[in-house]
Amino acid sequence: MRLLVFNASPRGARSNSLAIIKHFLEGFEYSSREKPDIETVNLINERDDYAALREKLLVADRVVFAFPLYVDSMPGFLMEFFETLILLKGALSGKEFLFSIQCGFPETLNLRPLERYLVRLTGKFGAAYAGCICRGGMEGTRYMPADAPIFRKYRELGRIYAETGKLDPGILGEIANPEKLPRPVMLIASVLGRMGLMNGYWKKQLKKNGAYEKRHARPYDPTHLPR
Amino acid sequence: MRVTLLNGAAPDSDAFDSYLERLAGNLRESGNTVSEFKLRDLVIGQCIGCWGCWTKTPGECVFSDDTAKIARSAVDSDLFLFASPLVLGFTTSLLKKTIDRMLPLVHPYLAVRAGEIHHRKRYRKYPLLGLLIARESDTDDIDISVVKEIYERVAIELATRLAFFGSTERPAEEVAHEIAGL
Ligand SMILES: Cc1cc2nc3c(=O)[nH]c(=O)nc-3n(C[C@H](O)[C@H](O)[C@H](O)COP(=O)(O)O)c2cc1C
Repeated sequence: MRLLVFNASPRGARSNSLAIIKHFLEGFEYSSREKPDIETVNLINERDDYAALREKLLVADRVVFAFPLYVDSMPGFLMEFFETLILLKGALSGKEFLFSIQCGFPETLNLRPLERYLVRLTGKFGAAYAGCICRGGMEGTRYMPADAPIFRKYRELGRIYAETGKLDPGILGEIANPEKLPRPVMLIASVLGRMGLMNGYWKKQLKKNGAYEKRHARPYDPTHLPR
Repeated sequence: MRVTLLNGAAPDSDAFDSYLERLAGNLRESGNTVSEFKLRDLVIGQCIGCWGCWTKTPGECVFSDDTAKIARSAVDSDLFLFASPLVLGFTTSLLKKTIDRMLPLVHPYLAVRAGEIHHRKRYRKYPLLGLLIARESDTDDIDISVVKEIYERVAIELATRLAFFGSTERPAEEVAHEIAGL
């Protein structure tokens, strides 16, 4: 069994996407009856040779795409890679595509439209859709310890996938929680937002970079008089 | 009105290009301003997710390429019109790479918008968003609804709303008329 993993975060080796999928793969490897042949590719480093990646795809049984949400869909260069796979149309049937997507905003609902697209995309390639793991609020993940509870869930999901060939709906749901923040939480967020109390991380970064005073800069503000 | 038009078509998209020429021509004839960017002829790098545009050089990407011109033009427009043939049921990677680079237009700080957590506005005013697509031979209603749903969300991210969504099956004159009336 050949499993090919594309990490399609532009941050490559230092990405949340990779930190997360590693745990899924660990669980997968642990429970596989025979030692699977797993190869992980940081797509951002291979942009000069998509042809070599297509060759790898042709001999893989299962393909995992792990990536962050970028403005409500995939990072542009991943779409670029998908576009080159048009050359393989017809040659991908029998392969299984699995997706692991995550985003910065806390609500997993941010990822659902992209998930619906990925179902369509898999169909257009004639591959089999194995599912999509979705989780919001993940920007800090790459700094989290390996024993963090969320990673345990990804490992568990990987183990069950190795055993049954399916993503367990119960664990998928746990990973996706919160799908939507409850109304009272949103009300509090709204107040905190207006008071500027949700921005600790950004303030710290701005200050560290000596850019705090320029935080509200509007470099492209139209220079002509208001219409 | 002022329109910033992004042509996201891949090379050799003559029919699409000439449709956009007719559209821009019509808009100009009726007194509108159109700034067109043919993305395939520009230098547009992939966003690397460094947050520099929010925390190092607020409002500007730390890499300078043609996306700065696009962002500047967009802020000075009434309509930010994305145009792209569908490829694999989605807009092109050229357009997507460009959109990823529009992050500096908003602020890192968070706010509640449309009942969800999003980023605060950086500018006082944002252009309306429009999306013009061309169908592929196998495009169906589900493809269309998926693309539309994603771009409705893109609009929220860019502190605006999707005010136009249409395809090149409609005559350019008609689309120009609708856009001019927004
Ligand atoms: C250009 C860009 C666009 C983004 N767009 C969104 C978005 O629309 N919604 C969201 O929740 N997070 C968005 N994010 C946040 C990322 O999805 C989040 O930080 C993710 O954890 C990054 O994962 P990575 O380290 O694997 O790249 C965006 C980040 C960048 C750099």
